[in-house]
Amino acid sequence: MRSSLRIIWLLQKEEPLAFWGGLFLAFLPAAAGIALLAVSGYFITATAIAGLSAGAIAFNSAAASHIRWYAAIRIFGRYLERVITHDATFRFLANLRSGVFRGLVARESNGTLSQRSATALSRVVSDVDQLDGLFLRLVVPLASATIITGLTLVILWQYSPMASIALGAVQAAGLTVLAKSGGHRQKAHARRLNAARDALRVRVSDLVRGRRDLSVFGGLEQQRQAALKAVNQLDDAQEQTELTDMRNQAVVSTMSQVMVAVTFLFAAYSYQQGQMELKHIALFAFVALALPELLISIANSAGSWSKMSGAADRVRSLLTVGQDSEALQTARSNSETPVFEAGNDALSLKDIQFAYTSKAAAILDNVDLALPTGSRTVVIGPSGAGKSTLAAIVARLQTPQNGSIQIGGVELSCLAEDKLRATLTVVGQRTQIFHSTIAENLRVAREDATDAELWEALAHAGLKELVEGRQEKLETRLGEGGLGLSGGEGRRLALARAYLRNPEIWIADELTEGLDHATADKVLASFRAMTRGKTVLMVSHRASELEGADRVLMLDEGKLTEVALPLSDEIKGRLRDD
Amino acid sequence: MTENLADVTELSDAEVAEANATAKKRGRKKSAGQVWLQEAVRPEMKLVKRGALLQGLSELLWIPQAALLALAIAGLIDPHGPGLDPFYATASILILSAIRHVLKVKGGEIAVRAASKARHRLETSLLSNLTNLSPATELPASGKIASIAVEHIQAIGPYLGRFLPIQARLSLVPLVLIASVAYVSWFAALCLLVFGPLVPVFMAIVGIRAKKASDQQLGVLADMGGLLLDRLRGMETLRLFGAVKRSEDDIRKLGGDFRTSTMRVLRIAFLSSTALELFSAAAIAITAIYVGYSLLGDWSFGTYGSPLTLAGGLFVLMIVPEYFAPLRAFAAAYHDRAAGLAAADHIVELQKQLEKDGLEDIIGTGIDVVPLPETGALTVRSLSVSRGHRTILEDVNLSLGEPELVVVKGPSGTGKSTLMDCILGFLPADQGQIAYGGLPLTSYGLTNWQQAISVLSQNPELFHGSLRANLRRADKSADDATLTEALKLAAVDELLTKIPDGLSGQIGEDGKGLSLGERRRFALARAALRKDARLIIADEPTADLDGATAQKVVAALKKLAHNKPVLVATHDPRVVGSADRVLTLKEGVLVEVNEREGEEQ
Repeated sequence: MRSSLRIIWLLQKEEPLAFWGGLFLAFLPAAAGIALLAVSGYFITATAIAGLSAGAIAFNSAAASHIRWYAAIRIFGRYLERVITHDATFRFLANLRSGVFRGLVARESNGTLSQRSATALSRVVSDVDQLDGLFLRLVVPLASATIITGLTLVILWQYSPMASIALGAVQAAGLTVLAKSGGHRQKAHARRLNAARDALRVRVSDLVRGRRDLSVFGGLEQQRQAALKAVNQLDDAQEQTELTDMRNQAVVSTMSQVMVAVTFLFAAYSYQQGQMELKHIALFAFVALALPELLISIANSAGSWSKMSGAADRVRSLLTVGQDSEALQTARSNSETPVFEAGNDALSLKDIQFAYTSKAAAILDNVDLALPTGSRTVVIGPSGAGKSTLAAIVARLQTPQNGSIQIGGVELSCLAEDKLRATLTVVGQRTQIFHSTIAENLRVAREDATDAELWEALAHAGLKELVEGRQEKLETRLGEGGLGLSGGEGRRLALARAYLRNPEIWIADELTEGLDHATADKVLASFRAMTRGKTVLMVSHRASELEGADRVLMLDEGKLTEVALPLSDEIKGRLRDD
Repeated sequence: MTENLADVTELSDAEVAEANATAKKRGRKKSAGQVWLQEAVRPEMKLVKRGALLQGLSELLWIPQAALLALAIAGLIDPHGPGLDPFYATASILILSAIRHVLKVKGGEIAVRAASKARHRLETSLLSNLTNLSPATELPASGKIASIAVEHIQAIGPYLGRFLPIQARLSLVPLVLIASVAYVSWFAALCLLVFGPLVPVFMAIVGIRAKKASDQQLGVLADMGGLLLDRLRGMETLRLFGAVKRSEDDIRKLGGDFRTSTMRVLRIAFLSSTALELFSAAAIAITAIYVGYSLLGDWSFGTYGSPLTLAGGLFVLMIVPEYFAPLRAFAAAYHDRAAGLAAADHIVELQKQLEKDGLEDIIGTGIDVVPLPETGALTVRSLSVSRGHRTILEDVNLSLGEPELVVVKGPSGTGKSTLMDCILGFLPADQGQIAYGGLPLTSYGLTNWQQAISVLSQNPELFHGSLRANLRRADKSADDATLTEALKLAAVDELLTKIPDGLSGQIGEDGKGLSLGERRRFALARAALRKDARLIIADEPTADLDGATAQKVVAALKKLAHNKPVLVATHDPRVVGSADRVLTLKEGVLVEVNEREGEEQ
């Protein structure tokens, strides 16, 4: 609940007008609805008394005009309210999404490399979607129910304190029952539901992705059983949730009948004691009839509170991280600009120490490395030796526990993000192809690149023919439902992106991994042409990538050692020679 | 455009979507999803109706409650008219409330349980369909199927458990309420009779316009989540290219666009509930004014002879809001229906894909199964496979019997994997025959044959669980010593020290925590564990491995080839170099490379 409140507060700060305007507009029609029923009841009783005693017609026409006004406010206010609160919700969601994105990016920049599974990421996405009800189903109904109940009780107090206490007590009881739905037990329930959902997701995608291996190794049936178990858990949890929702609604509707009966009894008692006027009895009865309507809208959404609350817990920390990172970015923003001159080191690493956890053995153990401007250096080593970690550290994707890094004479930890990214680019195996057009995928690297420049980049990366062959050319969509790129083509798209950046320092992280011989050669040729005259650091285990290197270093057991050129046969044997 | 839905199922997805859109536009044809959904929930309809009946009864008990209250109030105001003691009235109302509560909860439970049952049935059948599918079938992304199992089928629940009972109640409750009002005043009943049906009419008029637009919006909403997910996955790339801030703005901007376009739809859609409010408020106001003037004695129509009493007036006024309540509930639950239908469309689409590829055409029904011989030769004779208009394999002949390392080489995309799939029985042959020990593969039964082969696939799948559990998929009875030996053979025994808890250590979903090379070698260990395998098939076993490790893998394959035939698809010269026999696959034709044999001799 605290996280929810915190997020609500953030939303309120970002869009105060939508927030408070929506709340105010929600309040009006709800109040008018109660007034409408109350005045109608009052009107009838008053006319009945008037009819019995004959008179007071003037009063009646006033009441009739009240009825018209309340009806109008209720109808049109409700429409306006819905439009405004929904609009506000979409504003909040847009802000939340970008905030969550910023937070996740920040979390990655502070800590580890992106090792999150697809499931974890889609959890974040569905968490945000779940929070769409935060304003619409939590803030609005709760706030208007509380305010209107309070107001009504204050007004009714003048007619009969006793009856209004009875009214307030039943309404409070109703609110308490519903508040419990957002409580800890329900939260645990929501957690179980989420766990079952995740389990089923993992099982089914294992079953689909692994159906080849499973059918050969006889695990298909086993996997199906595991998935069935998850189905049972999910259905159980879901059924429990739905039952709770349904019972909540039943409780509220019963509560409303109790409220009517009890309020009436107290009103009648007050009247018989001479503490209340006759014509106000129906007023009380009809208010008691109308008030629970506020609870009903709460009851309909109470079931989603616990889910929201869990989602809010997870999302809130991301939003906070995002804010912190902005502070860091601002602090860095007026750093010096790196300078690259022949004879100086473009990149220098000193005493770099890195381990994944404090207990694990060091992956990099006091590593020193200097890249003179314009030089080509290759780091080789067995798989898992930490070559890619080295590349990630240089690109500030990962932070070493110790040591200092300088790029163009500027300390990396102080370097402004935009200056760093303009200076240094990584190309490698982990390039993401986004589900959008080729042009948009390329403009990730440079937003203002013209079509001509995109074509030039594609030509340099050897993708021009492929794209020209497509009907939509640069507007061809990539990814699911669009053009699927092979491994080599994806790698080349990454090169084209890097070409658009044209940085001073190029880091190539296993550039040709997973490509066949011919494709690898083509990708390497493109890479060499693009990086002529630049400072290059390649991380590799392939002999063919070593060609044209000024220096070769070997990374093994956390130490970096210079390898004599030309390579000895012993070293060659440890590399792939295709 | 096809009119007939039976034909629609034969059409491509795009055409179906178009047909659906047209059907919706005309507003009379049901979409494929709608038809499927009706069929899918049929077994539970009886239960749903029973639940709805109980809940409807509970709602109708409001009639005596309102009558009691009206009489009690009237009794206080006009001691000479009909009346009731306040205490007894309150007590009776409370007793009725208790009964109503029980009925409502019981009815609700029945409906919820029915929904749960339907959901369970649909999920179970989806899982069976997935298990019975040929592994070579092209399926949508695993994530998409998982979200059908997790989200879409779940969405059927509220449709069945909430929307359908409300719909059923809608045909009972308002009618009885009108009848009870008519007992007091025919004029008030007439008002309700006029206003009531107007509500759905107006809602429908507004709804048809809104629905078309909102159908598209639902897609956009999914896209919003999709965009965020896509950008999150590519976070690292975005950072490297300094595009983080821009993506953040993109997400915000798209959110803004989405808001504008959705609000355009919602502004129309909300009119339908405004119509509901308008009519319900108008009905209350008119009834109140009618009752008021009748009581004043100004109006004296609408009743049967005697003038309207205070009790009668109050009763009518209390029934009116309740008359509109089921309509309101219906409107509120309408999105359950929309979500259910949208989910049904997704499910139907997948179901069609699942039905397309039965296994029967590949490998018989498995009734007359011959036991698989311990040894034998695999012979592929004039095998041809084409996909669409493209020929993938043409007249391929191959014989494998002796323990040897056979390499099929050729650039990627030439059909090496297709050949492997045919041998595994994942894909049917257009022409030709694959036999083992002289009998076609169909004689042995698919499962038996597949489980007599060991496979190292190009993208080996490891499963969420311990190392031991993953390895034992190949040999259930293997002890730890055997498992360790297999890991050593595949040069991946360092995992035992790297992963905490050794063999009991967990690996994550998708083999998370292992590098690609480690996964490959781990899968090789798994393949080696199947001791009784008639044949080992490996697809690009050395891709992504560094020199030293690749060398070890080749050595392991070579060692395995001492006991049984090993068929390797590769373009790695290291593997080709250690092969006993090399075949080249070029444009669908398999050719034996003879000069190598010559060299060896």
